Amino acid sequence: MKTLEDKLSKAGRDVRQLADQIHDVRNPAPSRLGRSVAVSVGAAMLVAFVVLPVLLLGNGERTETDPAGDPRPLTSLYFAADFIPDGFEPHQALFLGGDSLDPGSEIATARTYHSVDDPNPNQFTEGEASLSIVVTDALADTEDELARFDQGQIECVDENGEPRDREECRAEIAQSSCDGTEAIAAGDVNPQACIDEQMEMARPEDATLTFTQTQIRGRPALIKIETRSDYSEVKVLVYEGNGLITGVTGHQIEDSTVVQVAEELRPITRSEFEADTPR
Amino acid sequence: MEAEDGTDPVIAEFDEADTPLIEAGERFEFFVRREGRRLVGLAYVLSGNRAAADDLVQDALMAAFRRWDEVSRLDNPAAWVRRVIANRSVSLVRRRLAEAKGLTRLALNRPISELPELPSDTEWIWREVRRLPKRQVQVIALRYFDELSMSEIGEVLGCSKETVNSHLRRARETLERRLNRPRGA
Repeated sequence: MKTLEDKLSKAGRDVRQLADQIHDVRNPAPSRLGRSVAVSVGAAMLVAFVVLPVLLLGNGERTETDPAGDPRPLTSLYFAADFIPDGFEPHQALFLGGDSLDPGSEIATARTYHSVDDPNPNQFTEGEASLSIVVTDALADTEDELARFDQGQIECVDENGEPRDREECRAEIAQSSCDGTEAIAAGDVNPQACIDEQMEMARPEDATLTFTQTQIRGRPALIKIETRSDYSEVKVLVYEGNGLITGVTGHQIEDSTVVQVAEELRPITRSEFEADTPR
Repeated sequence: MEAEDGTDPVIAEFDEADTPLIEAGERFEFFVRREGRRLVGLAYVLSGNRAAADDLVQDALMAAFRRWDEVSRLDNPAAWVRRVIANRSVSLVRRRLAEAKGLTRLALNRPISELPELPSDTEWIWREVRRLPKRQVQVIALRYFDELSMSEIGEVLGCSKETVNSHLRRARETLERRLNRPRGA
């Protein structure tokens, strides 16, 4: 007769064996941008029926106001790339939701592209070419982060894993120079503060970082190039206004090509975004 | 820096799925690829729901990604993610939310991590495990699914190995009774 130990060991082994057979777990951060949000198609469904698709003007200003009376204009998270580099094709278009308990907290969208020669686009391999576009509502992201902190979903620990003062931790989130509560009150992030924050981030030990502050489509932007011995990453962040930040990230692609993708981003409607979403 | 056999240590590490060592500052993609399957398995035995397991893992990985600069430099980032999964899986609200999200995604034909069928006796054992108090469920899952030592479980759950031992002993006592009864009794 099997002992309890045998039964539990077998039960664990059975699940391990099955888990080893499942497909690769989706990377919830397809953009590889510094800040992103959890995939939440459920949230996207809700928003699809309650949020009117809106268009942005080329300079990022909104054309409509929130029908619910929110003084903050509606945010369009939907952009399309009019320029897709040769050899790339669309892979995924994702709605990204917040991680708080609000199921309607959609706060970003992501589009990923892969090389047409890539035999397995669901996996990212070091050294392989890739391109992604993530549009984030930085203000909603901050609100979500604060909500999650208040719900105890974000740990407040020091570098040794020891608990820190929670008020201190919350203040750090709320007082971010780029997108804290001040930005929420103002209805937009401070592009220069965001750029400064990016440039002040700790530099990876084995990488060379190059920053170029510029303008893309007339908006403040930062081009960040990270070069390592084994790969390079080019990230173009554009501060579109009203808290929207678009980020175009490329691996193993010419810097100028990634910049061109960012230059030729165009706001679209939600329905266009959905129609363009591979199923 | 290269390993003794001349391979890139990060790649070499990635090829050994069972190696718990994680390089400080490891890229998030590698971490997801190495740990993802096991995390889904853990979330499944804790939640008992396949769709929920997928979302629990997505949520936990996203929590890690948000703070990856910090998390990747912890001694054991995988333990940090396991703790997030363990904590969230026993929260009824979050579990229900995850289930709802998972079902919505299924309806949209989105790919989720598919776990094949488990043998019925294994399903039954894990169902009985999930009836235990939440800390005991976590300890059993981490011990028998993840094969962690008492110290490692303590690290994941943020308690001493003596406390882990105590939970494990109580869980075994209860399971000894329940699993020795005829099924359905």
